Amino acid sequence: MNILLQKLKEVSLSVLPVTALVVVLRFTVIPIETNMFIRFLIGAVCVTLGLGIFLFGAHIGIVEIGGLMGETIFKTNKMYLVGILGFILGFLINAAEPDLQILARQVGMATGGVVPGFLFLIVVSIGVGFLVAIGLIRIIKGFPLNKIFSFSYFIILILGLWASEEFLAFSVDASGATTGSMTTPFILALGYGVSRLKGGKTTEEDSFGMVGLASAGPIIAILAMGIIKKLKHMEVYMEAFTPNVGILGPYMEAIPQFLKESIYTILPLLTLFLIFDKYRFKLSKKHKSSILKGLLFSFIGLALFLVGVNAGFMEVGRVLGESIASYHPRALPIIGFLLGMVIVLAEPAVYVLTEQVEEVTAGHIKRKVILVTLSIGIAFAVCASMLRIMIPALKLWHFLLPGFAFAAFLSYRVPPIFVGIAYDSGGVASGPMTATFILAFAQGAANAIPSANVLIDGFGVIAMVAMTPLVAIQLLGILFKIKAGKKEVLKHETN
Amino acid sequence: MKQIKKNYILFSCILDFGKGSKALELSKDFGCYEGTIFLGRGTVSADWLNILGALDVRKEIFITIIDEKKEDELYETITKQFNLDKPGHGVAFSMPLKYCIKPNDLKSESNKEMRGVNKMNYECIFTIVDKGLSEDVLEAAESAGSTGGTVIHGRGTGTQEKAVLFNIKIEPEKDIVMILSKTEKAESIVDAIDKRLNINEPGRGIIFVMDVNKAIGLYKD
Repeated sequence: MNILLQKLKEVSLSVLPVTALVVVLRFTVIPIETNMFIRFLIGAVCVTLGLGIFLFGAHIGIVEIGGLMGETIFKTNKMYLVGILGFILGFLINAAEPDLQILARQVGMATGGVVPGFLFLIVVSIGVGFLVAIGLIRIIKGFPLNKIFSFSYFIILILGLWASEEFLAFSVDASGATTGSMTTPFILALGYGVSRLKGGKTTEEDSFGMVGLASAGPIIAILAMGIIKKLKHMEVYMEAFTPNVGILGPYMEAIPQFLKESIYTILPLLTLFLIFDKYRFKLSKKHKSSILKGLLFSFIGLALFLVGVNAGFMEVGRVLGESIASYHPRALPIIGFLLGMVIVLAEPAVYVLTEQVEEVTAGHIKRKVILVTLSIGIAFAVCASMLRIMIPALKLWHFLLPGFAFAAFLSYRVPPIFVGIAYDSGGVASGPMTATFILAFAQGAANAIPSANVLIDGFGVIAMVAMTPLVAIQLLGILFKIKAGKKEVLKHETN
Repeated sequence: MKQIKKNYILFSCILDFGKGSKALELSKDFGCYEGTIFLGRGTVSADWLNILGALDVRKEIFITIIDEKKEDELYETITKQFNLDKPGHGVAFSMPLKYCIKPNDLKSESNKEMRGVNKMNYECIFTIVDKGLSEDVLEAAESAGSTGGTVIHGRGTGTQEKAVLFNIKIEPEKDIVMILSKTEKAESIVDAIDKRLNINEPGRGIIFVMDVNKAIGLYKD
């Protein structure tokens, strides 16, 4: 009982802060109608349980599969096979991501068929597959991460100069969708699987950076497609916001939808696992059944989590944003800051990442330190986004350009492991929780402020959330370096 | 080299993940010079967890060197802190050391006789140093006739190191190098490692040696 209770406590503590914040806001500044409030509380329960079940399942299922596949790929011992297998895995896992399929449909409609949804999906998946392949080859060849990241973001910058703001928004959103709750743990474990077999002095720094690279893929692919297809402007229709009615009604609608979506995400992993197991892993019956159970738990947990977030959290986010922007606009950045601080704790992939960090460094870099740093980083991201929504003169690139440039600069100054963790955190933090709750909050705020553009400002939040961890975690790396440096001085004195 | 008669004990506990740092902190009150933690996986005792599919759970293994006189007190404190007297909360155990080299004390040799009837031909040499220095240890050992060794990745602190971030202690990463050798060679291996890494200076690390009853699988030369 011990372990399960402990896990449940851990998960509750991660969902509790955001729930408490909303409850406090409801009874002080923003009156949320009773039905919506009850739906939110039910949502919080679903999210807590879902997160717990998902993490338990991810640990024995997805992470195991990723690690095994990484090891198998490494054992092929041929660089071209590593590339091809990495590409296929990245492509398939990504193409199955439900968020991306929804986005593809929207793009198809928005461009009036110039870019069919199917083409969009394929292009993004090629981008991801390509960068996963590069990431795996990098680990084996030992290319430095900071150079690869500088190069990828330099390409994005060049391509970004040509693209329209809407197209940029779409590419960033696709990047957020790529690093979904299933893909992230899988890609993390895949890289770790390769690096731990490779061994040697650089195992630690080799174990991270795959997710960061994979999230750059869609941006490059979409921007390149926009230029080739000569797309400058798109007409984008936002779905009108209709508040839910009743208490259980919205849940009844959400359950079948997200059960279906969760099946889509889990199927390619399951199929790949069964194929690999038949021809390569040949696992014991006990091990295999444990992994299959893990997949089942992640499926149930993910569905529960998504139902809670979408039926309970999203509209509250929207209403919060709208009412604060209308009645207390000055409080918007502060409340944004607080929301950002607590929301990242409830992001599923954050757990998987921090656990891997602890495992790779034998507990040297503790989970809590990473969590606190991420919390501060995301708080600044949401806060800055609110300022941008309120002040039309502030543009997204005023934050993104210096932010990414500073991150690139830092990546040559910090211990290499922090470069990998930082870029991975960028992809991890922009997961399903942020992409629904914080996005809805920003869209609500933008809707209430006449000078703001709902589409561009909304997506801008995701880009910000993906950027600030790069800076925050690398600054943490600098702190670690300073602390370790002190020890060196001490040693020197005693000599 | 100055020899001190003082009996040292290798104290170890296996605890749930995340509890190692607490044990390390507690042990410092008992004059333990350097504590080291490394990660492992352990079996799951509860049947229902097995049914759910969890085959193993993450564990932390904590080891430290303690003066024999203080051993009982440490046992008491650790047992109380982690409820080790109840099943399923972890285990603690200790083993006598042949001798150890650490700063301040120089070399201290145990005068304890090992029980058992086997003729002891082998010794196990543990060296704990800052991460990245394991290759130096292995090279030094090889130059003195060792045939190989195993490196375990861990974290830990000596009394020298104190760094705190957001109120959380940072424990530097360590390499634990384990070398099995014939008794007649052990002395020179230890000396070679000591010489290369200056273990006598504070903050350099620690070497300890244990008797081994039997060993198999080692290269013969």
